[in-house]
Amino acid sequence: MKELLLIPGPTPVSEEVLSALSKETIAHTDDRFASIMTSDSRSDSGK
Amino acid sequence: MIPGPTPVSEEVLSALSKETMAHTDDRFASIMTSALDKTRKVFGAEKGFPFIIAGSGTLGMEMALTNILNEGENLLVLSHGFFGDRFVDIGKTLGVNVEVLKAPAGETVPLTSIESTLRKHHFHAITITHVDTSTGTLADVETIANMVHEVSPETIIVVDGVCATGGVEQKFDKWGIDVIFTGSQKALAVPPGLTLLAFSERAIEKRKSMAKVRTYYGDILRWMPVMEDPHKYFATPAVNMVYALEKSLSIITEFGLPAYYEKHTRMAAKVRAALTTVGFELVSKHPAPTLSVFKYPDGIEDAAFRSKLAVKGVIVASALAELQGKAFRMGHMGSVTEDELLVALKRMLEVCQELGVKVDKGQALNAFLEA
Repeated sequence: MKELLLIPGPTPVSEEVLSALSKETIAHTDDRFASIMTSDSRSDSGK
Repeated sequence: MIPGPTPVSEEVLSALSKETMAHTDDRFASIMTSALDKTRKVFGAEKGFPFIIAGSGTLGMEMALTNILNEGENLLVLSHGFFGDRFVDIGKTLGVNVEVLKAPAGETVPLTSIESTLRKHHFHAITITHVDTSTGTLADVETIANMVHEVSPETIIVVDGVCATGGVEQKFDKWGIDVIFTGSQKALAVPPGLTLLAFSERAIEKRKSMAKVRTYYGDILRWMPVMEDPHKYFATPAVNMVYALEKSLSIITEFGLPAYYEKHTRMAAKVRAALTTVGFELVSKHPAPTLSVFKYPDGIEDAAFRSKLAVKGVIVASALAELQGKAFRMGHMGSVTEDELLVALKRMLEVCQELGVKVDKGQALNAFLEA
């Protein structure tokens, strides 16, 4: 079974979020990064 | 191809996306300890005390100053560009008296003027930016440090290694450096998010002597127990970023540091040999192996060049300050390979042609392959 991290932080991270974490790094001044930084409801985090 | 963040390998990205564990977990503590050991290696700092802290390279700059300078003490800044100047801003913000020796873009501050400035006044610390990312200039840290030890032995030597560490050899112990730091997103080939530092015994003693420190998160005395035993807690570490850093440092140290430096030197030589055939000119007279800042030949407009190149999947950075619009910055450090650089070169040559500049592709590609 997958370990369950029940400490008061860090808390478990979903597969979707971990996969967003491992997306290719882009330039910090790139339009795409700027819109991720600005956006509050981006849906392509699993890309 | 920007001078940071640099490309991150699949192996490192996959380490990053491993499940997050407790920051006090034995397994995490051993990953952190391994990353700290390897941090010592890339700095050449077997005697230095290493730190890995969540934050950008600018946090490293700030920690380097807040932990060794009291308000009203004197700092000498050697500036080879935008990032040298940043030390002036940080020093002023901290109430430090700052004197700056600034070289014109692409040049270095002459050793004689550093020496005469140190003989005139007492400086508690001096900063040297090993590679200034804005001009692509490499400082001769060893020679400067040797002179400082002779002329003003009490002056604490701070080295900004952000665009250097891993891509350029650093010998913290041998050169007698007191504080060194870098960022994860340059030659260490990890995403942005961590600053790595090492402090000498003398720098730590200086911090201990300070009655008042103007930082809480950045206070090395709060972090030292955690770095000695990562089971301990001060502030939550960036667990996944440490996985990625440890993985990348393992890859680099297994590849071998001398081979890794050599790879950077070779990549720089190839890119420069090729682009100078087209009329691009290096801004720096003392170019670093980690990046190149190239002045455009006649007929190439900055925004058009970079945007056309981006459409082809190659991202380079604009130049900063007085070089903006006249030059571009290209990183060739970290995990990037010669094959990738060759593809980038081909795209650049295509863009030059699209912009109406005559290009001898064969000559440029041969120069790349033969350098």
